[in-house]
Parts: sequence; structure tokens; C-alpha cells
Amino acid sequence: MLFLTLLITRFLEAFIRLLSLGSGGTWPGHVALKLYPGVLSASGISPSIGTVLISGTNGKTTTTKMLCHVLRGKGFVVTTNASGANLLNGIASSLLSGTPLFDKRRADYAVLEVDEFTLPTVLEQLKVKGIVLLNLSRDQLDRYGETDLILERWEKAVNESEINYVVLDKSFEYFREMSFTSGAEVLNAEDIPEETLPEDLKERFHAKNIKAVLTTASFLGIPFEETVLLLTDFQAAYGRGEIIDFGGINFHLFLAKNPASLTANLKAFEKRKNDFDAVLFILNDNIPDGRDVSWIYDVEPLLILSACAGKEIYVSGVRGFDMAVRLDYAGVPILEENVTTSVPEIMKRIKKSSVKNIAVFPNYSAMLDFRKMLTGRKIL
Amino acid sequence: MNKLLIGYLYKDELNLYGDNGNVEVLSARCARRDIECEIVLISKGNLSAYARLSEINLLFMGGGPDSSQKSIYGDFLEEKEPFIRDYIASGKTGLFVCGSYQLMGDYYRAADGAELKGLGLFKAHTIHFGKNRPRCIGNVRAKINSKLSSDQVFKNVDFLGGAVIGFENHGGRTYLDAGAAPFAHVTYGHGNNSEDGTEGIIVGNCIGTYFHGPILAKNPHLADYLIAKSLNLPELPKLNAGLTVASYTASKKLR
Repeated sequence: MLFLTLLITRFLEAFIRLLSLGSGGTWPGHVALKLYPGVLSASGISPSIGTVLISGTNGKTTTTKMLCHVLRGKGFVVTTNASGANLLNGIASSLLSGTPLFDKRRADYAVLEVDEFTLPTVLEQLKVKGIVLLNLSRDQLDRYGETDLILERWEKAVNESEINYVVLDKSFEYFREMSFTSGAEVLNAEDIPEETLPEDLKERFHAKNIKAVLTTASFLGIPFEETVLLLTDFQAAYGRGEIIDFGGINFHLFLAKNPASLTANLKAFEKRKNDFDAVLFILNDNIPDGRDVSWIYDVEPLLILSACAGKEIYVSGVRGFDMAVRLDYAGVPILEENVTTSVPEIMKRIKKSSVKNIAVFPNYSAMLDFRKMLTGRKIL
Repeated sequence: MNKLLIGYLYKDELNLYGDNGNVEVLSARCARRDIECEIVLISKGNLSAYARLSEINLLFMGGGPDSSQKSIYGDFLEEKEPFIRDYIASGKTGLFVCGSYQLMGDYYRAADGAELKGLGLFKAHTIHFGKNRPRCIGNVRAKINSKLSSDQVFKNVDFLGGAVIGFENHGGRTYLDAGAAPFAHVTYGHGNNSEDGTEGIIVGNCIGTYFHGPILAKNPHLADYLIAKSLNLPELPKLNAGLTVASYTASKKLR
């Protein structure tokens, strides 16, 4: 059955590639799960050493990419969902695509980012060695509900699974309060002192994500110094600190999809403010973003004000005006002509200006659309 | 000119949908007019600790996750009830959003049938029908009740034609008692219960509503009304409304 499912998904993958249906990456998984609902439990799909899942509100994509980079640097074959398709369909697609049809070398590891709400379902179906829980905060209340409920579901799912280890950050009270009864080893990412992390890495990436990778890698037998060395040439994931040159202007993309990520990115931006002459906020309210944008008021107004001070401000997206009003209440001077819901329109205005380096804070769908506009293609 | 003294109830526990933004908007709109504005944070515990309680002229309370609402419930009923009762009876202004709007009613009946007594100061009750009926989520627009919109103070500050916009997200459905005045009538979205077209409630000069977003950021005329009414001013100096009007106009198209 697995062989047949693999054949069909290979055919679908080829078909999608042929027609360059960039967003069709989750179809093979969707079809496979329909044809063979137990496909994720099939033993042929497991990598030879083990599967690691990475979940949390913020930092999933970057941390997943970092861990893959380290493992690949050590010579392992790693399957991952680099496109960020982190629901059941996307995970199935990635695993099937990483499973060889014939007796070629099987992947050693699967490192998969998993949507925080989907994590329990994945744990039920897939044999997993370890999980990394990064953080949990307000995000998409209209879709996920309140964080308390997600934590309860996580705890239950971990306790009912056979995983060997959990990496988490005990500086968060909600993680300290979790109780794991299944015997899984609990590794505290905060045990790594901040000052031992290389400065250049800390400047580009969130320290907590780096610590999670170091902790996991060390459990997998890769020493601290070696992981640090392997990370020196690590490149940011799409839209997360990525720099795209478009028509002579450098656009630095900082995904800002909820209060925690906007706060973290504004703080990171503030430290290197002098590299930029303008800031562009793009706020959408599409389904993947959550329809409710009230979260923009959960970001400290003083931080917004100090980050934006002295920069040209542009605002766009379906909810651009909501963002502009929010910035205005934080005390940021906003020129009405620099606010429009149309992204192509705001680009025209930026091109006309003398801006050379602009920091872009888009939420999720805004980042995907904007990136596609700059690069002319979809992710990966 | 006297000072706007905002009593902000349970800031730490009840700030789920950017509720904090409402207080930020009030204080920013005061600052732009050189009106002095101060915030008194009222947390759990006895009210005797607050020396200026009687000077509060605008009371605000937001909503929170279930666990937070449970954590303040006992304190709200036992420690805060007499103060809020007198406050409303004296005709002062207040805004109660989402969870706190529900708690101000007679009772909240949970999906399992358990009844949670409310303060009973808003003549309304809330029922959660469980999974049988979907949550009321989405963009929402309404026409403010003429009882409020015909108030001369409101007319003087209104530049958006008596409408109000927001976002709602509630599992409980609220039903007003006969004779109770809704805050507004829904033109798009669910409102109190998705059945009778009502949204929120007005009791004296206090408003209960499901609109968040936060409501005062999206509806600056309502913020100005609350400021003017709280300070007994017939009107307020006009502010540059370009962005807020554009924002309001753009919001009207949202589905």
C-alpha cells in the first residue's frame, strides 16, 4: 500500500512541477491521506534515525531550517518541510517525498515544523523521537482559541506518545507548569548561557531559537562547538530576516505575524536602525493570518515609537489603515499619502522616494505575497 | 478643565483582544487636546486601597480567556459589586467589552448547563449553546441606538454618521430583557445573539458591547463621546480625522 501511495504521490509531484503549480505542495499529502489514511504510521516512511518535530507560535520555520542545516552539515540525509507547509497534508507530502521508491538511501532524520494546533494529531499518527516546543503566545484567536487550551492538548499528546525527549524553554512559566508523565527526557534550552552564543549569530537570529537548536543537536550527539561552527554560514529562512534587492532598493523582510513576533522584530530592528532609512508595515487579515487584527494593540506603543522614530513610514495591506491608526496612536508621524491598501501602489511611492534600505514588517500572507512580487516566484 | 480619571479594571487578567488599546486611544485623544488624563489600575482585592475611587469618571473593563475570567470572578462579585452598582446609578460613564459585558448581566449559562451568576447590573443574560451553534466571529458593523446617537454630546463629536464598526469573537449569545436598550443595531455580523439584530446594551451612561478591535481605535467618535460625557463637556476640539475616516471608510467594505 505504501508503495502504491508513493507512486501516486510521485506522479502528482511531477505533475505539479510540470505545470509549476507552486502552491500545490500539499496536494500529494492530501491525496495520500485520503487513499491511505494510516500512511503516516507506515513503518516505511520513518527515517532511519528518527523524526524531530518543532512547534510553537514563533520561530518554527527558522529553528527547523537551522537544525536541518546542522544535521546536513554533519552529513546526514534530512527530510523537512522547508516551504512551511506545517499542517497534516504538508507534513505527509514532505515525508512521502523524502521516502525513496526503491532501495536508495533512506533519510536519516526528518525535521518537521508543525502547526501548534495540529501537533497532537501528528503525534497520534507519526512515530516521533523528539519534539521542540519553542513558545506559545497569542496568535489567531479566531482560529486557535486561547493558549491555555493548546497547552493542555500538548501535554496530553506528549504523555500519550512514546517520544524520547522534549526540548523546551523553562524561562517561560507556562512550560514550567507542564507535567510530563510519559518518561520522556525534558531538556531545558535555557540551560545554555546567553553569553556563550556567538555575537554575529545572535544579531541575526533570536537567541531562543539558537539555544533550542544547540540543545537538540547536543542530545543527538553533536557537540556545542561543532553546531556553532556549522551555523556560521546559515542563511535566514524566506521572509525571516531575508534581504531582497528589487530595483536597487534593499528590502529586509521581518515576518511580523502576532504581538510576540512584531515585538521581537522591532527590538531586533532597533539595534541596527542606522542600516535603514524607511519602514514598511503590511497588514492583511486573510484566513492564514487570522481575521482579527486587534493584536496590533498588544505591542507596546513606546517600542513602536522608538523603533519608527526618524524613519520614513509606509503602510499597506488589506488592513493597512488599521495599522496606520495604530502607529498614529503610538505617536508615530504618518503621512496620509504613504498609506494605501494596495501593495503595488505603495511600491510605486517607495520607488519614487530616495529610500535605499527599507525594513518590511509584513504579517503572514502579506509576506508571501510581497515576496512573490519581489522575486517573481512563490517560495522555494 | 477637570481631569479624565479612567478606572481600568483587571488590566493584567482581562486583555485578550487588544483591550488595552481602548485606554491607549482615550489617553492619546485627551493628550492631543491638552486634557489631563490619568489611569487608575484596579486589580484584585479590597477597594479601600484606592484613595481616588470617587473621582473616577470613566470605568473600563475588557475581556479575557476563560481561566482569567474565572480568576477574577469571585473578586468581581464580592469586592467590586457595590462600587460598580453605585457608579452606574450615579450616571457616570463606563465601557464593558466582551467577557466583562457578559459578567455584568444576570447570569451566564455554560454549554454544560452550569449557571454563573453575574453582577445583574445589565438586564441581560448569556447562554452558550455548546458546539451546536458556531461562535460569533468576524467583522461587524452596526447603527448606534438613537437613544445614544440623539444625545447632543454624541452629535457634537460624531463625524461617522452614527455607525460603529469592530470585530467580534464570542461563544456565548446574549439576550436583553424586555425594555433594555441595546447599544446598537447590527447591519453586518452577529451582535448579541445573531438572532434579534441587537448589539450590546446601554444602562445609564454605561455601554456593554461585543465589539473589540479595539472598539475605540476603530470608532474615534465613540471615544470622543465617552471623553466629553465623562467630563460633562458639550463638545471637544476637533482633531485631524484624516486617517481615522479613511480607516473607517476602508472598514465598511470588509467582509
